[in-house]
Formats: sequence, C-alpha cells, structure tokens
Amino acid sequence: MLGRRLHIRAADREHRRVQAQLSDFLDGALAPGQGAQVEAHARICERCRGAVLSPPSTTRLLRSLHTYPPPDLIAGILARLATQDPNQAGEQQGDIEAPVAADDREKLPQTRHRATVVRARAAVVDCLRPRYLRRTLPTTLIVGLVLTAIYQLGDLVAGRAGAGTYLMCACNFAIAFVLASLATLVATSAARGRQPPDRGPN
Amino acid sequence: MKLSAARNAAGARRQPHDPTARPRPLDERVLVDRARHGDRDAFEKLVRLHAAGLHAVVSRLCATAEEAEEVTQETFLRAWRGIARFQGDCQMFTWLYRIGVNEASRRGARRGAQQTSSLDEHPEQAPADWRPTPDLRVEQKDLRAALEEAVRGLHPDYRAPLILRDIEGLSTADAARILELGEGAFKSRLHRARLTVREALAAHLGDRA
Repeated sequence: MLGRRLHIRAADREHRRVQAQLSDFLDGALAPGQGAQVEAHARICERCRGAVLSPPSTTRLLRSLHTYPPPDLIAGILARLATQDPNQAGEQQGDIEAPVAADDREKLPQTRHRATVVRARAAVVDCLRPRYLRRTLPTTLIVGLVLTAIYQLGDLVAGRAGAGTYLMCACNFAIAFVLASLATLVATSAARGRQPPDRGPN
Repeated sequence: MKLSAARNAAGARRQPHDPTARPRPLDERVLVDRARHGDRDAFEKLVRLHAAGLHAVVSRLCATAEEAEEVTQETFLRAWRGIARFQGDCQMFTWLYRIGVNEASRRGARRGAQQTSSLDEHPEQAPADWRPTPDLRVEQKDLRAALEEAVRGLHPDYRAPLILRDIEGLSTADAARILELGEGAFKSRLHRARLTVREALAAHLGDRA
C-alpha cells in the first residue's frame, strides 16, 4: 500500500518536472539527455503525449528543425556568379549550362581568376574561425616545437641564437600552421561530401 | 567582394538559419533596383541575405546535400539572368523561392523518371533491403529525427507547403504564391501534410490509436 503510494507520488513528481520542461522541449532548447527523458515520459503518460501531439505543439516542433547551411554556400554561389558575364543580368533566359558564346570566351580567364580569388578568400576566412583553430593550433604547436628542436635547439642552448634563428623558429610554426589548415580544410570538405543533407545538431 | 563582407558571411554561417529574420523591404528594394541595372555587388548582397533561407527550403526538397547546394547556386544564377523580369510585384524571397522550388521539383521528377526506367530495365538487380525494420528504426531515433523523416517521406506536393508554412514560418499568402497555388488548395495540402506528420509522431510515441 505504502509502496504504491510512493510510486504514485514519484510518478506525479516526474509528470510535473516534464510539464515544466515541455515548452523548452518543443523549442528544441533542451539538452539531448533531457529531451530523451521527456520523450520517454510522453510514451507512458497520456496527458503529456497529448500535449506533444497537439497541433500547436507539432508546429513548434517543426519550427525547431534547424538547418545549418554549408560553410562555403555563399562562396560557392559567388564563385559561379563570377563566371557570368557582368552584362548578362536580365539578358539571358536560356538554360544555365548553355555553351559560352565566342565573344565571351576571352573574358573567361578573367572571371575564372575572380572565382578562384573568391574561393581562396573564403578558405582563409574559414581557417581563422575558432572551430578550425581548435583543430589546427595543437598540431601547429607540436610540429613547430619538433622542427625547432631539430634545427634551432643547438643554437638556442649554446647561446648563439640571433635574429635569424628566431625568424627560423617563427617560420617553423607558420609552415606547420599552413599545412595543418590545409589538411583541416581538405578533411572538412571530404567529410561534408559524405554527410546527409542539412540535419544540424539539436 | 570586400573582406568585411566575407567576415559577415562567415559570421552568418555560425548560426542556424532563422526563418523569421527577413531584410528590411526598403533596403532590399534599393538592392534589387541596383541589381536590375547590372550592379553585381548589389546582387551579391541579395545572395547573402537569402542564401541560407533558400538553402533551408530546397535542402528538404532535394535528395542529397550536394543537390541542395547545386539547386541553390542555380537558383541565384537564374535569378541574376532574369532579374530584369522581376517587377517587384512580390517580395524578392518569394520570387527566389519559387525559382528554387521549381528547380528542386524538376530535378526530383527527373530523378524519379530515371529510377523508374533503370528498375524497369534491370528488375533482377534491385538491391536487397538491409535497412532495419520500421519498429527498430523507431527505437533508434529521437522525436526530431522521426519528425524530419516524416517530412521527407511526404509527397513533394504536400512537403513543400509544410516546409514553407510550418518550418520556414512564411505566411499562407506568401507560401501559396511561391507554389503558384490558390490559398484554398494550399491550405488543403498543408492540412493533409500536418495530419500525416502528426500520425508519424503519434506512432513514434507509441500512440497508435
């Protein structure tokens, strides 16, 4: 009898806790573990299940399906736009893959150069983002220290280090950073190619 | 493209697309007007304003991430080529989304036709289905994954209204205009899509009544 009463009281406490979290759950603002708890409760509690399945709640759930555009989406669009003749705006209504007119061919190297510049600039901006730096800086530090230990440690320990030695030390770290950034860019690009569309972390 | 603009674009990428954030109409009208006169910088600003929103819509209408990116790029190319035809009788995003939705539908139809013909030609080569049974799948995913799958499972005619109205938060009038539907027909499709999605959610939560 007492056990049953305790069980009912615990269930009631759980129900009140889930009710308090329901709004955040519908907005996708709960941590995954908490969200799973709300879901598990909704499976056994008819009232909470009804609340999740009500039309306004379903709409809120749908609204919370975030989409994260790919990092180089805008750079990709601008790169393709750069291959278009500036005078083309509003003039051509045919297919995008239409062959390039003879008069336009000599302008192509110029526009391709612009597309390359746009992509390169986007890559540099990406490399300086904290998400990339978190991956590249540890590698830079380790590789830079190893190179310095191999090539400049003797001079530094013997007290023969001059401005040139310090410059070489800086170059060790700079080269390591460039290589680590390139590797990260390539790895990220390859990983994005394997991902399913648009589903971001909730 | 100026470096500050690139920095803005990088900043925008860090956030999920906010469907309710729309540019101020006056700024946009000025940009559209300049773009119609061949100002590529103005058009690039329009790209930055609308790329994330357009991608959010087409990514749910396309089969893969690559296709969604291609459709987004192609939409802006078509828009650049046809900007002189844009008379300003609707908002820029309505016009862009219409081009994007049409392009995604065209590709979907082409893909469907190709799949049908290849299966007809080689019926014995259809691969065995090693995916988990529906019951097991339900156990493995959370509610939002189930919701996403339910949306993707809708027929495109019903999926597009749900994406535009309920996920992207557009008004009924705007969404109906994008799909070139009357409001009555739009609401009817939206209603059916919502019912289907709610049924999928109910099944996921174990309420099969």
